[in-house]
Amino acid sequence: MQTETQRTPGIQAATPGQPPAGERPKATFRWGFGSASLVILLALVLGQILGVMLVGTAKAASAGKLGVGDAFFLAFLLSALWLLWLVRGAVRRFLLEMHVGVSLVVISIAAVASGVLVPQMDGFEDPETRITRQNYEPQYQRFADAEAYFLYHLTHPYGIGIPADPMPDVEKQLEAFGRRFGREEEHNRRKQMKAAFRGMGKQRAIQEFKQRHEGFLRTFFDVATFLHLNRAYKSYWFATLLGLVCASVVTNLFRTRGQKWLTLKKAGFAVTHIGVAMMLVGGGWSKFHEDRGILQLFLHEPPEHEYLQHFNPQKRAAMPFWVRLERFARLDWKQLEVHFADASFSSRPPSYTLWPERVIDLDYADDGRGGLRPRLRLEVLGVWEHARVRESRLSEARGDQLDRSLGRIAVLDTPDLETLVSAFQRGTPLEELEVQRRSTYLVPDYPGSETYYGPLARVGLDWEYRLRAARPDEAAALGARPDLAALFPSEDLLGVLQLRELGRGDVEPRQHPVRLGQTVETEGGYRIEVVEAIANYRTDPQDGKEIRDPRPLREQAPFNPGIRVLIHPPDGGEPERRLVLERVVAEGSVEQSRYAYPDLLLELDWERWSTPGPPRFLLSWGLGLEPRLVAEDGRVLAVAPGSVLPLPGSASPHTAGRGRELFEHAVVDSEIEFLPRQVGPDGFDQSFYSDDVRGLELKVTRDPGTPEERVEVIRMATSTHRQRNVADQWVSPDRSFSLHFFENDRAFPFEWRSVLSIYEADPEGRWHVYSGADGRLLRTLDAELSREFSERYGSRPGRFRGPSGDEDGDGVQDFVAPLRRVHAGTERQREIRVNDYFTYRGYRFFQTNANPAVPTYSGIGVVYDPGIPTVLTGMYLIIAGTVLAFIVKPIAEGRRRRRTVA
Amino acid sequence: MNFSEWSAWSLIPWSSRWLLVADLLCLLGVALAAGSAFRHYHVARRRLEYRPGGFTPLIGVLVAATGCVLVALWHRGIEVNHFPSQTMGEVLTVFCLSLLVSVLVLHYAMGIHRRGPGWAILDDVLIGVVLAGVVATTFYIRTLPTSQRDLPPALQSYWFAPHIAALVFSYATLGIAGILCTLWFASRFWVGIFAGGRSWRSQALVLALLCLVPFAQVVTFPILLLSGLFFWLMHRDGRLPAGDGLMRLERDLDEVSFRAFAVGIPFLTAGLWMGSFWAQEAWANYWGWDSKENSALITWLVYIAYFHLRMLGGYRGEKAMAVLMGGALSIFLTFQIFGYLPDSQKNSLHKYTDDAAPPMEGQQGPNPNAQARASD
Repeated sequence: MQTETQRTPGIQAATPGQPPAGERPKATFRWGFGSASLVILLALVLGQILGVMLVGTAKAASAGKLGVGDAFFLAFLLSALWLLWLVRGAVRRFLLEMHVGVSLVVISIAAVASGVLVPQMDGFEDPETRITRQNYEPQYQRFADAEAYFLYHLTHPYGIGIPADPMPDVEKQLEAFGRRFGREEEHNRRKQMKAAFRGMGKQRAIQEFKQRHEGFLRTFFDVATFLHLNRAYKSYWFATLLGLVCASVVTNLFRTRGQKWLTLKKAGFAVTHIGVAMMLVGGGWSKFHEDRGILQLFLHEPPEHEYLQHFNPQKRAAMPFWVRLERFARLDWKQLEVHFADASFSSRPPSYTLWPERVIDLDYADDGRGGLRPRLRLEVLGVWEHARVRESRLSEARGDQLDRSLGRIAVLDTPDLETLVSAFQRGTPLEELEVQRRSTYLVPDYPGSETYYGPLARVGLDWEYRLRAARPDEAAALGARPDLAALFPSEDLLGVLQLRELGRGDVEPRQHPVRLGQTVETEGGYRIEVVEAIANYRTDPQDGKEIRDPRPLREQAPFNPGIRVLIHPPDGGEPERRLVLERVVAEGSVEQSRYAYPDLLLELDWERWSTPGPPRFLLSWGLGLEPRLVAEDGRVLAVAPGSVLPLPGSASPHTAGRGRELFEHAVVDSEIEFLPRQVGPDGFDQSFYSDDVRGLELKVTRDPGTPEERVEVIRMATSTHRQRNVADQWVSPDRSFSLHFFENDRAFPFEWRSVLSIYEADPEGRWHVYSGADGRLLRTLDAELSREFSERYGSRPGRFRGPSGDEDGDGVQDFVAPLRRVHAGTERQREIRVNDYFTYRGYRFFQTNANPAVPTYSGIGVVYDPGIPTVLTGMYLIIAGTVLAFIVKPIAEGRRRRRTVA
Repeated sequence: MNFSEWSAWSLIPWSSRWLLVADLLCLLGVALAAGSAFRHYHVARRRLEYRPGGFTPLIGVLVAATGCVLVALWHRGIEVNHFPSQTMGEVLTVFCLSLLVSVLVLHYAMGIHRRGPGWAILDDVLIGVVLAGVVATTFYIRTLPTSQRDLPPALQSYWFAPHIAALVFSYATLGIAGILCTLWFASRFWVGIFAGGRSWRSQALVLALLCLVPFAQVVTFPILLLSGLFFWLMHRDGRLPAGDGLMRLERDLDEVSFRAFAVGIPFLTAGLWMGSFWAQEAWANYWGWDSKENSALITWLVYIAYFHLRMLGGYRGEKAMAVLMGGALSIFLTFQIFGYLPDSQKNSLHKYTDDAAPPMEGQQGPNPNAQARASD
């Protein structure tokens, strides 16, 4: 802080620094907030201009096209720097001023706030991203949506004037729901409904607000773009501001002598200011050297070194080494659903995440004292990450076992899917495979378990048939002349569209069966036109584009089905083209908020039985009738337990399905074994990457706390997409309720983990063959072959197309590369999780995303940022300095004062 | 939840039961604070000998309420199987605990009740306002969904609890500093009304400042009305502070609010930068310019400006108080209004407390399907 100049009238010029007699004393200029802010703002404008010009000159220099203009600019820059050096005293005094320091802080607040009040453009993290003619409209629309939302709420404080529609009378349904699932669930559903209804009309009002103020919003957007406010934190003016703050902090730090930094009075000040300076210097270092992006890796693929810079598929950069995904797995939340046989709710029942000792009370009844008591209590005794289900032993129920019966179950002997997947991946002919079989269960009473879609549907080969267990009413109709039209509906129904209009406050979805070309009209006035059906939606991992299957829909297996719809809004505006995939839960999804009409929620249940596809068959047994198979063409075929089912593909032992056992009243006796985790001495959990199912031990108590209390301890195991078993379901003996134990892969997982391995270029240019499964070195190609490979493929690794392609016989195609695998640590050290990254040669790799629809994919974030250690040290110092200044110093001073007084 | 349902005690989760007990204690505490304030007023009015109380019934109730909220949080942790700060209801429960702990810490750290009966009244008012604030907050919590939500991978970090706890504690402490500022402006306003000597412009400015802050009905209006009642009583008895007395009152309030600030700022700093350490571990990105991060940074910078103005510029009184109140306002924006800000309309990484928004932690960038769908 500048001290006030002493002016004493009458003292003559003899005093140094005083004006000679007769002259007016020279007024010392004092910086105020206004003048300081003005200078800082000018510096920011200058910084922005210089930044743009400097980058232009640097580009010209790197292209070797420096012109006269560039030379003038560089000369000007040097002159400016020289001038600054000459007036360094004045600059120092300026930076030491309290008004300047506070102005810098206030302008920093305004700068950061400008980036909060002006939504940052998509991809602003990339310093090179700008608003262009191509991306102007989508960027503007997002800007306008965000600003309209903010301004609408700002102009309606306390919600005054926001339209709200009344909530429908659903108290009875909520009461019934609460009786089953508890009061807390009931209250939560009511709160959610209220919140949804509060949103009714508001969305429409915001859209109207946006349209009404279109002109203002466009001008605002253009001005924000001109001033770089929608990429504020990456602009040159912001960098200039941070530079000035840093200069001010450093100048003020050195205003005090270094020795004083160690005193109690100054330690907090010094440490904090050193911390701020280090943080800003490290940030500046990051700005010039940082690069980040995403590395898209797939299991069993050769190493990769290109990543998508700033998550942009069109922008690729390469690392100086190669990375391969050695292992990848996700662990989902283990959850339980309870279904009551005598209650049907249109909304989804709650899913309970499980952990040991969790107690769930359900199904409330009057306790006779005016209150309620639970009739069902579930207590989790244990949850296991790894379990093994021994072949479930099914038998026909005896008289006293009928209450435990699961009903009719057909056990089919079907080809082993994993073997077929491996064969498909390697391109091995089926005939060369060793026959492996697995049990498949058809349970007509459980939705989703009543149908088997042919062994090859899951691996992308031909889809040969569809087999469904006949329901009791259908089985009775399977007489000598079955009504084929009723049993096999026409194949034009694609599925059921679950539709909710949030603007109308829809809480429960409305269901519309959809066919290709059909138009669905919603109550809110939307027209939804089904324009395309896709059986297996896939994308190219390289460019992200959709891979279209040219075959007719009938021949495609519905692995990842969906439809494309054209949504025509009620006001006749621009239609939106939207892809609705069966696997995607629209509610809460990231894409939903990006749609043109985000208030329209669409989800799809693909109807596999009635879409175009391979021949259909109904299997009927029990109910006092002979087992039989009815084909779509009307043939009725006799079936004997243990015999091969006369289905397409039955000639091949690899694809034939066999009806092994047919039960009318099946009793299941699953033996579930819980397995320990296999953790190595270094903490590496190998079992995390296994395909094991998860296990659950549950105590089921009915009528707890009453004389009729009955307790049963049950074991359950989940199913996986590879391993389906009946142990994931449990039906109460009186059939009043059933339990479903599953891993919820429709939401965020519990955890993802990947293990990476590192490859460096071979200094001798030799090519090596590596195992496709674990990346082991199998052999090194000779120099001549290596040279030939290099000429043909450059340096890019590829799948090995040797005599077998799988020299070590591990079932995965090997790869060949001019790279050496390097030791980059143990598996545990190379394992990455969210919150636990791996570093190699300054590159940091962290678990960024995954996709349950592509289980072999792992998205690995890549960051190269040499400024990180400096920044983090600075941050630690800021905390330490604050603690010193505000906690240690007052306490120590207080003690000293007390001691002095004493 | 209504009173008829509270009768079904066994159906209420344990965390809600303890919160309910804490509410009742807080209501009792408000009554005790009012009684204590009245008693201190009586002492001051009659010029009786003032003996500052040690562990008074009011402090006893305050400690008990703090214990109950702590037990409620403990139970909530058991009910959801993780540190309970995943939903807004849980974070606000942590905030209630922080408010109670802060006022307890400040009661002893500032020790204003020892200075005299007038200051003891201020201490009582402060405790009463905080207890009423806790009741209002728990009332609001009951309007929010209480479903258990699983932690996304990024939140399963050892930084989760300290980051949230440090920030929320600082919000509570600095919020109390904001309440002291409100008291400062309210006292200035009412002295101006009853004793005059202030221009109508400055009075209007103070009134506008107190009325135009968001959710004024929760904090500033009650304080304005309560202090109005107090100053009216003083005015009636002819004991309205004036001249040096008024200056001393304002100076002391300024000093007390600075002490509250000094307790809160290290926690705000630690909470803010702990978030950076965590982001560094999760995404190797210590600062992502996310709207929540930026709002928190703005808050920190406002307090930095306040500190520099006070220590270097010698700012005291209304200017310093206005900046300190600006900090409290910024806290409120960061904590509760952040979801409305334009930049928050993107997929903020900090929307985990928003029940309608999907949590984004750990899920960044495109994946094979998302790319094609985005370009659809």
